Amino acid sequence: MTVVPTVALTGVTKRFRGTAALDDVHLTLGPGITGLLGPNGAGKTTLLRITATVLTPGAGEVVLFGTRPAGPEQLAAVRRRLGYLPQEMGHPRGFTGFGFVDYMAVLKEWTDRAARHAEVRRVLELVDLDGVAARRVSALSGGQRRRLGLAQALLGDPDLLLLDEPTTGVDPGQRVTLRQVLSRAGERSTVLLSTHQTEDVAALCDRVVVLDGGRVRFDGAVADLVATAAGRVWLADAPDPAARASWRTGTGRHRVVGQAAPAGAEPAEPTLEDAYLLLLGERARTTGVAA
Amino acid sequence: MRAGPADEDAALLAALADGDLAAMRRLYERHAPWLSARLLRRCNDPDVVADVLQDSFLALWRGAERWRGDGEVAAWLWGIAVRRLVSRLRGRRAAVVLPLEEEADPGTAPSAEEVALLGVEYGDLGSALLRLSPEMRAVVQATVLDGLSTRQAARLLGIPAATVKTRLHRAKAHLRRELAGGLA
Amino acid sequence: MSTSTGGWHADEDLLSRYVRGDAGPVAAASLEQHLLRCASCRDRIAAHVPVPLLDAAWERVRDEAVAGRPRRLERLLVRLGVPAPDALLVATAPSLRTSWLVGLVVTLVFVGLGAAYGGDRGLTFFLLVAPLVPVAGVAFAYGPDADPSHEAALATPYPATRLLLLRTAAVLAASLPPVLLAALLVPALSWTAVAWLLPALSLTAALLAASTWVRPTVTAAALGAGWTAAVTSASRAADPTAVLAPALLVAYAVLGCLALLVLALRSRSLTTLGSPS
Ligand SMILES: Nc1ncnc2c1ncn2[C@@H]1O[C@H](COP(=O)(O)OP(=O)(O)OP(=O)(O)O)[C@@H](O)[C@H]1O
Ligand SMILES: [Mg+2]
Ligand SMILES: [Zn+2]
Repeated sequence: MTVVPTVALTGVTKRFRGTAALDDVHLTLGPGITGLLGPNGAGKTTLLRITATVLTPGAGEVVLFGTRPAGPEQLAAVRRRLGYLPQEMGHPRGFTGFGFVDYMAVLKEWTDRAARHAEVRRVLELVDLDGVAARRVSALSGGQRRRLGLAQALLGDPDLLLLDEPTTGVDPGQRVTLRQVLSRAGERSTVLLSTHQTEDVAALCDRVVVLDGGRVRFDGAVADLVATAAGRVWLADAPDPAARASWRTGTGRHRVVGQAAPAGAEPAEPTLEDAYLLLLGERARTTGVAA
Repeated sequence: MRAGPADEDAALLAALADGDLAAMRRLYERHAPWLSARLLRRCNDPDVVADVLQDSFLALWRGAERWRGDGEVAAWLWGIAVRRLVSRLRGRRAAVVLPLEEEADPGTAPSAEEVALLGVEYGDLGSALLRLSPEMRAVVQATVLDGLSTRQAARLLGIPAATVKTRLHRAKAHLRRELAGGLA
Repeated sequence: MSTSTGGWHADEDLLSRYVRGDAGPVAAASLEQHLLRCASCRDRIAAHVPVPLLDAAWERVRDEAVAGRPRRLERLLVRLGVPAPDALLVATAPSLRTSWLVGLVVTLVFVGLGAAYGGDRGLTFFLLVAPLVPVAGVAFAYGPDADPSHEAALATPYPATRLLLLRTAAVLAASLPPVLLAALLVPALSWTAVAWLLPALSLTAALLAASTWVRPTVTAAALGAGWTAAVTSASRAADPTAVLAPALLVAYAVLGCLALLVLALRSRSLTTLGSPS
């Protein structure tokens, strides 16, 4: 018996007024955590929206859990199994944190009040928000609201978890908490998360997909992408204008990422960020990836 | 000067309005024990007392801003709790026994300790109270000490409101006589 | 603690006897009065009180406090027989209360203006505004402009069309009664006091149909402009009630039905984000 992949995209293309946000994307995902990297405007959000069934592709095929969600019934069946955190996630006015997640749980067909409340409490505890659940959303901090958005995506332990920049604005301590939650989810579910934090991908994902200009530039193991930067990262005493990137580090030495070793440089251990910079070349440098 | 417990209660109450659950927990830890003990003396069904406790603290949570900021939070809370108890007891008379009534033993003289204790809080009134019959004392307790209205006291004690009125009337006359006699 | 107690505090024995119920009536009454004023005795009594009772009550307090009571509207709907989850979705419609209030206020203002100017002018004001109140209400109760969590809600299995219709029903139920009441106050309106409901409903239906293409706020603006043009030109031609001529009323009814048909046929497009914004 062959295992049906959770997500299978073939030739997915999406144009907005002529410009291609996604261009012939092929992607197959199964259980585990995949990181989605790419500069601003690369098409990450468009890819996640199409996978989350909230956007229809212009061309190509989207198969989720082995079915093409065509009719309303199939669409609902697929949506029952997915959790989605959009990049822009607002909250209607007047809700408390609990009230908002409770509202989303009703939309996710948790009709029994007691069971629904228990589930809402569970996901709020997961993202460490149970202490402020009674507070109005408008009184929560940006990072807390982001975690609230993640909480609603986690309702019902979905088989497919699609997260668009889940860690934006979240403090380091909470990011580690979220990593624990996501790594546990990744043990049985398929998780696809977009981010601008290469450390999050390095810490969490087995697989990484790099998008640029709507096209897949890399799709493979994180270690394989890091390996592409081997022998192309150095520590030098002076900046190297010819390199892909070079900057002064806290130690006073300059980290140089490029093709050729500058004079007097010693090799350094490459990181995912170095590999990403090299992969995207000039483009990544001009759009600035490592904020 | 260190902030007293009353100030701490007030600060905790103020935090409730912002949906601060930790403040709610603190208030509960500070007040639920004595409240439950006092409620249990008026109703010996722990389920009812747990319900009343829940009602009272939820009322606090939803209406913390109604506290006017004067006096003891404890007294305010008791006012809420005893009224909730009265409304919970409606229609379930049979399940409830009032400990006060059990102690009906007019023959026993109050112990020296009791008189001394009562003196701390009430002075002369204390010894006068002691000489009331248990029925009258229950009425005085419900109306004067617990702060219930005639109708609420009637519901709590399971007797008609008219009876509460006449007993209270007689108890007051009795106390007046006792106090006058004590002074003479 | 409190000076009035003269430094007296209950000892452990008294506290434990009090909690057990055998402290005697006088000692108990005294202690109770003391507890109201003494935080230290209140703290110490905790050790004598059964913990399970306190813990069980706390858990219920916490859960109820966090979950909150269902809103008044939600409870009312449930009592009227609406399934509880639907009632919650209606009651939490973004800006439902706002749309009701706005409907009321706008109408009252225009009725006031109408009363002040009297006659045709007042009538024009009323006819201009009344049918647009539910349209505006629906525009602000559904869609990406009204609901900041719209995209997340779309990805749930709850049918988008059902949500749209639920909220439309709620807006109609909330906004039409005040406008109807206001209509009775407009002196020059007679049978027209009810006839405006037809264009109101058909404009709302048109809004629903159009929301399968563009976001409701955009359509609402367009419909508002169109209706305003119709009423003002009728008013210029001396009779504002011309927009309620029998032939036109039939046309509204037909248009409304057509719009609902379009909505039914195109409801699939409500399940995804609309055209590029
Ligand atoms: N609704 C839309 N209407 C028009 N253009 C759009 C729309 N959504 C996306 N685009 C365009 O498609 C391209 C990809 O956008 P997308 O939001 O997918 O990028 P992204 O990788 O998520 O970027 P970011 O890192 O900034 O979130 C961009 O050029 C953007 O301008
Ligand atoms: Mg994006
Ligand atoms: Zn004391």
